[in-house]
Amino acid sequence: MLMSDTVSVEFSQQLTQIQRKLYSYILSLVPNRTEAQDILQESNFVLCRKAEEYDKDRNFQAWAFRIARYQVMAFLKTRKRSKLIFSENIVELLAEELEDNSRFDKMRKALSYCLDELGERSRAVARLRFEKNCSLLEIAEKLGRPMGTVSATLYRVRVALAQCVRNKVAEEEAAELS
Amino acid sequence: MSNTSNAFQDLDRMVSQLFDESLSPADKEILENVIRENPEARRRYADLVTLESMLHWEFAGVESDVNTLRDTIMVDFSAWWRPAMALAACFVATLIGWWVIDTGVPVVDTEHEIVSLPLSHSSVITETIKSPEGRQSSLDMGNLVVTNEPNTIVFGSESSKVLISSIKPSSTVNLARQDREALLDAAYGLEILESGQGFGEGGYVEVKENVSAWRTEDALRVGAEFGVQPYQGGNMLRFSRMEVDVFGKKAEVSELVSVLDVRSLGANFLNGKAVVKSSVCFNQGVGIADGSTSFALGLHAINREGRVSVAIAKKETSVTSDVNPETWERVESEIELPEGTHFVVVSLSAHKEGSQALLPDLSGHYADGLEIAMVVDGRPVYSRL
Repeated sequence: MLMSDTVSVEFSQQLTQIQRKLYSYILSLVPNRTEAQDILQESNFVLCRKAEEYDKDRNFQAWAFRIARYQVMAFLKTRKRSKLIFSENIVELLAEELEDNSRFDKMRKALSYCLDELGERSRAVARLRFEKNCSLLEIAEKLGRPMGTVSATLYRVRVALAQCVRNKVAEEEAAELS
Repeated sequence: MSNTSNAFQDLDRMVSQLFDESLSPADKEILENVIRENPEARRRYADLVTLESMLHWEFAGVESDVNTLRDTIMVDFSAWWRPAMALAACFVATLIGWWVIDTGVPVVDTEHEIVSLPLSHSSVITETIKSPEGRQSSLDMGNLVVTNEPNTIVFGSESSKVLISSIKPSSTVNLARQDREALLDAAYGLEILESGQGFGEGGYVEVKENVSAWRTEDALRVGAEFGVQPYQGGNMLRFSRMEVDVFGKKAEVSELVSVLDVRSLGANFLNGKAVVKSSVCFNQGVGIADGSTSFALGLHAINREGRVSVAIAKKETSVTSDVNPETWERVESEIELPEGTHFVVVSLSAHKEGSQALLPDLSGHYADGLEIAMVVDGRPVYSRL
């Protein structure tokens, strides 16, 4: 059966538009990149399959998040406890908290500014980690640095970007109020 | 305040280690407890993970240190063809400019003749049909009907349709679904070439070196997008949206780019070996959920008897793209034309499988640097960029 037979263009567009948010939501619950991507794909599959069940009067994102949440829970049941995975009760707790991502777009805009502010060395490590998905060990070998140094650099990169994004979003929100 | 800051410093550190898969089991327990007990910590965790997901997405597919194939020429077009290719490129640019203006004045280039009478789908129709009441009428050209018979193109409604053209596979040629779609489009090109007209919907006829070619790729041209720069020049071909088979987890699209009318070389065919060579580069934009795409360059030899055409030979070369939009994957294909070849169809296709096929068009699929050349007994008889 062709997708075009069962899924409207509007549905397809909505699903495409929320991919970043959906991935972010899933990664929050399963903080491992590869597994989060797999769950995203499975969620997309289920969403397409259930397209006819979608009530247009309902919030599309909330509906998609709910289905993604089921997929996460199904994934957790197939996995034994791992240091990479939160326990189910924590996932349930986070799932409720994370459904509100109203600041997502502001954060994204702020991040593009903040990335330009990164120093050359930090950027090199960030590229290896985020772009090429290298492990700490691989980065350490490539750069000839101890793993602890690489880990600390990535920590500083994340903290610096988070602080920068917080400040930019706060500035924007203050500007909106004034 | 300082306790709060310290608590969040620890949280930030543990979350960073969690993302890097280096968090100790003891720290994982602490992190879970903090997230469970402290709503503010949950919000901070949410912000950190949102940021992390954005970094994955923003950085995806922006590799910069992989050697590109830009300097690699895999099809050896003879050096003496290059001036002709340059002229052809100038010619195409001129033609496109002229087409936009579309004054309706016939244009004849000294080297490449263009038959310039605009032609629409309806102009191809040379037949009229009888309605059930026996009244003769023109066809409603708004409907394109694909019949159950494979590769048959028909205009009109289900109740009143006229066979226009078809391309069927011979018993020795196995056509994939994307081949059939490309040949369906090619059937229309055959009609344009047969009609002697210069234009049709979505394409035009270029005449060079005694070879007429129905060209359709210009309708697909776009500039740089989704992090993909054209392989050469200022634009590239963008594939149309893929058709998705949800339950088969497959997505594919095919594009017809050219139909060459080689009938004028018929005598040469009898005396020697005729070969069509082609090459093209492929690329794709990449989102967080994108994997590689299988691209193919297809060449089909078509024999035409009356209104029914038969695909008598096929050659396809495929390549699997990487997920780096800065590199282009180049393929070349070559087909020896069997006796009885009247037309050659050049098509491109893209194919995805697995879960990633469900949303295949988050970013685009592209082709550029298409080259087609024909050689008879080692003597170049046609070439175009």
